Amino acid sequence: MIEVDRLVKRYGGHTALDGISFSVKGGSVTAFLGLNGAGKSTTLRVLSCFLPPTSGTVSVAGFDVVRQSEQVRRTIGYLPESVPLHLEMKVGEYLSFRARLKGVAARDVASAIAAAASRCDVLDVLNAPIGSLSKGYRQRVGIADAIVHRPKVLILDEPTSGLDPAQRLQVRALVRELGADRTVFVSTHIIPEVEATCDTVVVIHRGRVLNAGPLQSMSRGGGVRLTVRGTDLPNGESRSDGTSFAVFKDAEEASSAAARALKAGGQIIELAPEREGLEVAFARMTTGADA
Amino acid sequence: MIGRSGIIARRELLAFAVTPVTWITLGSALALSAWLASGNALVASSGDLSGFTMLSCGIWLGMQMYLAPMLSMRLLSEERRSGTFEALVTAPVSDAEVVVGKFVAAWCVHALGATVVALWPLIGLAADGRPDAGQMFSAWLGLVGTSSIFLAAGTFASSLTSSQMLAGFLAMAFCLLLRFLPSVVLQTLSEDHLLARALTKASLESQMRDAARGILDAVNIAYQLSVTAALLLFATRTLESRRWQ
Repeated sequence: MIEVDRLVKRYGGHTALDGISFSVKGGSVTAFLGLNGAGKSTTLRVLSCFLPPTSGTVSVAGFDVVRQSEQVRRTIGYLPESVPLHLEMKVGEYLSFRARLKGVAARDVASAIAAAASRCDVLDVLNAPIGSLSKGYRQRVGIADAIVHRPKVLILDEPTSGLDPAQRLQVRALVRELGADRTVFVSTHIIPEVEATCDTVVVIHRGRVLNAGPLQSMSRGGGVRLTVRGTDLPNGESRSDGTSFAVFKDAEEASSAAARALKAGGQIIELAPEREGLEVAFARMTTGADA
Repeated sequence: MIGRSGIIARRELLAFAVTPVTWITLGSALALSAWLASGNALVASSGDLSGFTMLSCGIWLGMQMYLAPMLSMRLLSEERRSGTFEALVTAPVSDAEVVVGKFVAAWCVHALGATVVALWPLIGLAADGRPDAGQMFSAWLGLVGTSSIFLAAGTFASSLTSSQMLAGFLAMAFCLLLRFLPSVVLQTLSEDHLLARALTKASLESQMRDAARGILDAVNIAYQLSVTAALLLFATRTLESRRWQ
């Protein structure tokens, strides 16, 4: 659905994107994960046709962002990081304006607004001025704006930025739900958000893509974890519940340790593959790239 | 194009309605025309409509140096400052449609102001029994025609910066240039010089004088339309310049 091929973006002498390539499958929720300043917003601005690429090609739903910019903009719903809204307008007025601008026929505007507002849970504030809403509500109004014309592709730039924990959970749940019937590409630097909402991940660092693929493929296998009760393990760590655990480099080593623990009168609680978390994997990737 | 520009113009009119500067502008226009109507009652009652409308139009033209920048300075700079510009141009709408929509909204507000100015003298003359509707219409057309140029200059200035204040100063500078540059250059040329004749036609002062006399000159109207279009094209190109980065 989104194809990025050797995309370069330079601002004067500064290279913000250094030949990045990745693709996003249709119907997935894909995270664009990177630290602040990694090039996430620049990439999204190219995808949304706000900025042109310096070189390389980018297409969305088969349309080229340079040559078929208008078709791309009809296909996407885009929420910039700053959630720009006209604060003096009422929510309903604003969504109506945006729907008409995005080509929703006049007779369909009311139903389009109702559908988007219901999905984003802002029906109760349709008559409220946007300036009077909380940040969480404004965020949801911004997302309602992005989906009001029923786009095939939704591009969200840091949609939970600046929200409190409860609001973050709401927006995450909304993003996950929106991914059920469209392609969602969401930039973030918050790892629990990726784990909670996304199927696939594109990791960007200093203008280069370090890794891209399913969430599970991001983290390496980290050996085998053995947890026992009633005995100690060599180099193991004890827990307050009376168990102790240790991570072995492979299954054979772990099996041997388990056999020894059983012989010593211990009880096997768990023998399972150990995987590093995305946070560790992300740190490993970015540290490796910096080295 | 007209449809999407119209949608943008409608939203912009809503924004104008809640912006204090709009009401200050219209209030100033109303006060000015009331003062003109009472101050020139003698002239009007003597039936000298030319003098009356010419004086009104001359002062109104002078007010444009202030009013047009006030109305147009926020059109694009405010969108840039608040970040809504990114949302606006990533919708399926062209930069030209954005510029035209914004300009049309400012023009409508301004035309309302020009109508208010024309209203008092019209009432006064109607009461006196000697209204000249044709001349009043010509003067009104002259006002909105010359003001279109100033508003387009303000729209262009607004496209250059995200600071409303700077856009306002730039707009005033452009308006001053458009109004006085032809007169300044004229002083350096002999009367029968070809450029002198062209600059005389390009003088907004002389165009307003013609309009106040009830003369609808096609050359004047073409000049006003083409300069307005050129300035709006500059504003469009300025918006498009982000694509050249």
